[in-house]
Amino acid sequence: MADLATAVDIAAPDAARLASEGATTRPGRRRLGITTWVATAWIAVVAFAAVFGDVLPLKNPLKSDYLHVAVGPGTGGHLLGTDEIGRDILARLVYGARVSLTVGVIAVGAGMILGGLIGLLAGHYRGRLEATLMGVVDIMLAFPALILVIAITVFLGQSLRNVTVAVAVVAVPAFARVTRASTLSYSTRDFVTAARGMGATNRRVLFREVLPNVLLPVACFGLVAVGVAIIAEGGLAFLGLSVPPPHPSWGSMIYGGEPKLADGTAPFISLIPAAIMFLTVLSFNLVGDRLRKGLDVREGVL
Amino acid sequence: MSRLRVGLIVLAVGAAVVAEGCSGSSSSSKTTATTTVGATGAAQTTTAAAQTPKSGGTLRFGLESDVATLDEAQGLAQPADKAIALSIYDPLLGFKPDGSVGPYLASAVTHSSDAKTWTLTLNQGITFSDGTPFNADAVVAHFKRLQDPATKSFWYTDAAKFTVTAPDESTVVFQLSAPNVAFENDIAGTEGYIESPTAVKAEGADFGRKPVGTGPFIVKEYVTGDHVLVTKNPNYWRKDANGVQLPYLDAIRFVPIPDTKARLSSLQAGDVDLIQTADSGTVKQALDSGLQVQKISGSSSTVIIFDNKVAPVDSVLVREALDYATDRETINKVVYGGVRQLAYSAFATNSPYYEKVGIQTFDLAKAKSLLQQYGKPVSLSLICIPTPEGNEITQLLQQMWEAAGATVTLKTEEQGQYVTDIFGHKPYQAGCFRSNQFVDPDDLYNSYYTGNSQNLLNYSNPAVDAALDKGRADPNMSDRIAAYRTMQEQAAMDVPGFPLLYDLYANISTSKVHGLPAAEADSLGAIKTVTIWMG
Amino acid sequence: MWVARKLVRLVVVVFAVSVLTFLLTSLLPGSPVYDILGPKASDPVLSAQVRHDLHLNEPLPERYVQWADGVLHGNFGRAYSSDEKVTDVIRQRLPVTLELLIAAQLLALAVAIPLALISAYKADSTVDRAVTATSFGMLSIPDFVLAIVLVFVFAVHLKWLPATGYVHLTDSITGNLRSIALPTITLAVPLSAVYTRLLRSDLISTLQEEYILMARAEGLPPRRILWRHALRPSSFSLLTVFGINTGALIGGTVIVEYLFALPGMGYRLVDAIGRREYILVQGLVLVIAIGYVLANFAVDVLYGVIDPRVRHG
Repeated sequence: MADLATAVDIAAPDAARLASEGATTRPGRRRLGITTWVATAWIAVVAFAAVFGDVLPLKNPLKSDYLHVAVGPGTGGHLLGTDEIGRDILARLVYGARVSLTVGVIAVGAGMILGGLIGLLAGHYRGRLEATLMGVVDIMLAFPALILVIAITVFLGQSLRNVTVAVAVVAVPAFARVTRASTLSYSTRDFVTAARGMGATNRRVLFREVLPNVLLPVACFGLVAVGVAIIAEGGLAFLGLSVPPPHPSWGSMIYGGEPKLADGTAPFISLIPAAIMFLTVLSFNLVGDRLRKGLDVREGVL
Repeated sequence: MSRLRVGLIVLAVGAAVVAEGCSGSSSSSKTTATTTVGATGAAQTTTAAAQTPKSGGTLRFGLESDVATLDEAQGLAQPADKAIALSIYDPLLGFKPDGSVGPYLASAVTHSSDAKTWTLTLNQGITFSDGTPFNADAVVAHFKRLQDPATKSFWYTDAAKFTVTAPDESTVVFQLSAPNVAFENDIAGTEGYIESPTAVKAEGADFGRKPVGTGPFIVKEYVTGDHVLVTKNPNYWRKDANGVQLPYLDAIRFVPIPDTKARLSSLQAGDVDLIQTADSGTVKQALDSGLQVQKISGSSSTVIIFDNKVAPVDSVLVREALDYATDRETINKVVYGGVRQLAYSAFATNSPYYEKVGIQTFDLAKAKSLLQQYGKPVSLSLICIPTPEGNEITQLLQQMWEAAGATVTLKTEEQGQYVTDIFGHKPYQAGCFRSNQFVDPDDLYNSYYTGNSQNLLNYSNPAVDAALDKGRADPNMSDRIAAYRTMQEQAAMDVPGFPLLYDLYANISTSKVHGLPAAEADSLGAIKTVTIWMG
Repeated sequence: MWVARKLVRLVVVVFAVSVLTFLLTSLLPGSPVYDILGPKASDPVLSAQVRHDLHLNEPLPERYVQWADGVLHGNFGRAYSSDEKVTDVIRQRLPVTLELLIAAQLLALAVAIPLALISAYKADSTVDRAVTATSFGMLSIPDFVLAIVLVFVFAVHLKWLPATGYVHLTDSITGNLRSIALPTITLAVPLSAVYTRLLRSDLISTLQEEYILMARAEGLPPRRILWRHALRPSSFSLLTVFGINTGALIGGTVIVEYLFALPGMGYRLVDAIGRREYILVQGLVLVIAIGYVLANFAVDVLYGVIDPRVRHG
């Protein structure tokens, strides 16, 4: 989970810097490159698969085809082959997308809302509120993240809901930090002081002036965080702590296929879902970064 | 977390015995030792007589798990623990290839006609590696230590069943509270590994890190999770047939490599010389690549256990149906590449009590009709510890049982939690288990007897109870065999649980390694290292 | 004084983490009694003995105080099933984690600095785009996937490096380096991607500064400009993140340690959670938390020294 900490630590000063330099919220004059389009399209495809998986003409992801166990792509009517006990890989990928995206989007979303609120309040009101809130955040951050997630899944048991909760819990302090940094910078800027001078209450200033501007940098971070969360679910599956069998998730597919990767007999069982996970995380990273580039007036944050 | 990866836990609980009265010819199964040696191995035993063992060298041995402690009072049940224990300790009695008990530290064992008094005569002139003499006092001290609750020994409940005294320096007398014809089997295992009483006193809580026994090797370095280095005991009491001092090796370096594939890779890369494994895929690969493979089958099996008190598995119709719905051949083919063998009986194949009983046939039509006979919809949960292999099996079982008409929910529980729940008798429905096969049936007593705390199946059948009581007390061997046959047949009709396949253990080595002995019965593949030599 | 306030904060955080850990392990379902005794747990005498030894019959706050008191005197207790002293475990396992961590950070820097320099100097060129694309790729690979692919290629196929296992520095330097090669690469890949991006971004803005333009006008060779004049002022963000990562990595090497069977802190900690060895868990989490907090503290102090405005934050 050093990834999340790293992501926070780039995003926080960045968000602050963007805020303090008065970035506009309109995308710059650059056209959206083809990479961004492809990445967005990929995310759309994955999302579509996750939502409409039931309706698509796929084989049963839970049923073994004993005649075609661990066969390569194209054999026996299985477009992407079958896994270690003969289940169709394509079907499992589609259903697995549901798990990965649920954990990614919902856990991050929850973290964003809760953490964002904490960071917003801390950065805007300052003083003792900030000290207390950020103190709690610091404690949560000092606790090794992976250990916390493992403990939560062991405590609550394995299920999609619990994995999502665990990742959300870890996401909250990360978002709190990023939001606070961003809020801090905005709160001290001229237009906010002006608003106060005109008699607006603190609360009004917060929700009317600061929040809309803070949303974008935090959203960029959020997109990157989705990638991190998807990887986190994969890591948990690898430790045997994600959704229980037989439900597919990309991480558990990689885990289940690992013996046949290591002995070389059927490497595709692990590598296909690994590639899909890689492309999805990459797409989220690219889109998130493009959003940030669009905000920045400087040459290139890349 | 290696435990999540390493196979199911091993606990000394009997598997269910599934019946179909096929009275096995116990004499023929007696000759099949639990060790079936691979092609090269057979040649190895014949050439062993021709080749003279060379002394010297350090053997690097890859183990399947970390070793938490080397205090023999703690049971040392895992194959990895046993491998090291067999090098530094000696048991009071040893197992012969036919499964019967023979001399080791003790030269002879006799018992009274009522099987309540047992007398051991000890070999003379043996010392522990710290110089303490091995004598009856040391043996008594050992058992007293097991009986002391402060030791929290794995053998505490067993040791509570007798008192032990030393009338003279080389005689030990056990007084049992209840007759037990199989008592000698009990002390031939880890319960009878004798440690140095002076070392125990000197080290106290650190004894598990600095163990001292009479064995062929002495612990030199012990770094948890990293390695255990043992060196030759220069004063070891055993010699080989030609009078050469044992052991042959200068030292053994035990290295835990929990990851299965990595263990084989290390052997192939030459980082280690010998590995132990419970993974059939590894065995297959090793055989294909020409390594020496010593296969050991029949000493434990993967079993499905049912809570016989909880619906719907409280009905024999449902349990039988699930047994018929289980296609073991397919499981063997898909998960193990066809390498394993179907399991019958709770006994090891070389036990005199072994009977080839069990449904073991796949009949989906019969399974469906049995469930229809039951009448009500069948829905149950199957709990297992999540490992790649375990996941494959449970997912296959789910499909198979659902094909017969049941609804199956898979649950996973982490090992610690599972142990707690199962032994705490929390109600469950179906679960996975790895169970030892036994040489002596008295070990089954606790697993099948109504109300016993180790009866995880919550199984109750008065006829079985009666047969168990008879078998335990009757000193006449053929009467015992008859009693246990009754017990197995009766229990088999009830299908309180059923075994799937025998676990396959193997010791795989390069061609430099020679002198591997047969595996001990129910040792899960662990072998004594005293006769190994390299050259 | 500002530093003193930060120190107090540090101590409070560490204390809070230890309390949190204590609560978490005590509330975990499953009693250590069964884990330790297995089937013999049904024996009342034995289980009473275990409960007594683990102080399970005493109230939570009292148990915590006993433990905390021990810690302050250097006694972290013993792991229950193996009777190892927790301090011994830490002493054995921490150096392995630290070695891995330091190697990964150094490798990441060694890759990131030259890449960032080239990239920033030739901003928007093909080289730059290639570096950027690779960085993104490196950031998006899950660590466990990278690990198993590396093992597959380098250990199983090419047989150049061992798949798992750890060789101590004291035993063999080459053996040690070989055994940490693959895990170090696994950790270093995402780190170097992050550092490259950070450094590149700061370098680009520094390169637009007036004094750089003057140096170029004066005809100084580009390499000199980059190394001597541009690099140092651009390192701020990089150093910040580098420092924070050092702290985060102490607890963040778990998966890599597990996959490569390295006897480090993370691996042992996860194992201890599974075995309900809560005394061991307490001690290890405490050390990890202290490491993280100290690293952050060091970065904060450096920050404050360099930029006085931050002190009033």
